[in-house]
Amino acid sequence: MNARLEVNRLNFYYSGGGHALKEISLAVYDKTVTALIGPSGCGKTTFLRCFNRMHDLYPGNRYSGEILLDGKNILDRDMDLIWLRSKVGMVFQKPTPFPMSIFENIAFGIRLVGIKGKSEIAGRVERALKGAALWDEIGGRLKESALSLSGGQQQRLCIARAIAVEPEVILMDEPCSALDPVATAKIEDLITGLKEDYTVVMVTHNMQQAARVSDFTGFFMMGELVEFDVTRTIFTTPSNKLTEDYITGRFG
Amino acid sequence: MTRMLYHNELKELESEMYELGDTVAKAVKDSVKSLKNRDIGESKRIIKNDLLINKKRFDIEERCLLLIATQQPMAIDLRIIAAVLNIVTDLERIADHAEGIAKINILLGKAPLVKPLIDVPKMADKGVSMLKRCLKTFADRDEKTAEAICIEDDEVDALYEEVYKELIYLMIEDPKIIEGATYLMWVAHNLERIADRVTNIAERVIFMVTGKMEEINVSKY
Repeated sequence: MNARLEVNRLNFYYSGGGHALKEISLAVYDKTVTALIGPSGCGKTTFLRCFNRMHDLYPGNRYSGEILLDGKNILDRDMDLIWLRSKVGMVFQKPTPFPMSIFENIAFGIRLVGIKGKSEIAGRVERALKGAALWDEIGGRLKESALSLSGGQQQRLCIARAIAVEPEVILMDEPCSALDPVATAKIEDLITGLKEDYTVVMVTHNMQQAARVSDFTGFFMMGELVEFDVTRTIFTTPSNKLTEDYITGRFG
Repeated sequence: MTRMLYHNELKELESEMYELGDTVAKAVKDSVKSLKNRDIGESKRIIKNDLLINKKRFDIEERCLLLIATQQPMAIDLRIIAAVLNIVTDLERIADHAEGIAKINILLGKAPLVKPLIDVPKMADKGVSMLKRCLKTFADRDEKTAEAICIEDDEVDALYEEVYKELIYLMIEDPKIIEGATYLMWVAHNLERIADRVTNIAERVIFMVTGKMEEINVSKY
């Protein structure tokens, strides 16, 4: 299996001095879903946000080690962050539609990566909505405001927005935590389908979701990667006692 | 510890299984004792009691399913529940073997036994001892002793072979006892199967502790 992202001895320090990630090394394999689990404050979201350098939005945050994407260390100072974020898309906990039409929500990102042709943009919008399993539901309402969609539809719109620029990796930060069970099931089905074309890394507090959807799981605690393995091993016979205690609810 | 109620329910589930194990072990012991004493009344009680064992097994299964449905158990918890589901099935089948012996005693009626029972009670004692110790390995999470118990099945197989050969010899000597000897052979066969079932239980203990599913000692019979 090819590694799409390779993390080597990653450390991350918040501007306040907190050492949030300690010597993390793991591989994110191509066209798989990797779930990151662990108690609140363990560093899993901090880790996820390293993959598209989200932490750079705040001054003083500091990384050491390397994260290789296609052989390039994305932590290099001269890394083109526009390029990086087109390769590594992100979906947040709460749906974040822009206050504009459904069409514009997706076209916005496509234009940002330099695509100008109207028919090219329209084609990509349609492909993205199909890819996010939304086309059948809202394909006829593209001019309506994205804010008129249900929470689950808004989240899938955000996924469509992420895939419209044809990234390699999609990061998801608790993508279903604000959704009802039906909308959650649709997103889970979608994630399973997405891995045919993309590599997905997701943070989730829902252990059953991690067990259902992911191929690999990493368990974090206090900024350290305690265990990383094939998902079915993590949830049936984890090798570390801490992992077992966490997933069986003995702490956390 | 978080999820206190859930983990208490898991402990209760285990206790119920041990309780069922004790009842089943007693049924095996009593079945051979009633055969030895030619006590038809006691055999009838064992047969009647088997219905309660069957019910208890279904109750435990239901508890397992409820825990799976409501608590989404994982890792060791899930393996405990999966092991309990398998073990109660084996316990229920062991009780069926005891019931089988009780039925043979009734079938034999007032006819005298074709030979004194020597190895048959030994087989029963060995099987019951294996069963009790095996359930203790579950409580102790002791896969090593469970594996050793699997090997003890060979001793029961050896006793079965003794009984089998002796009965064949007696039947050749005196064909008039074929019916009575065949009944005793069934008794011995039931006891041999009981030890096999204990081996299954031991394998489930090993699975519960280590997550490995493997057959430890394949019975000769």
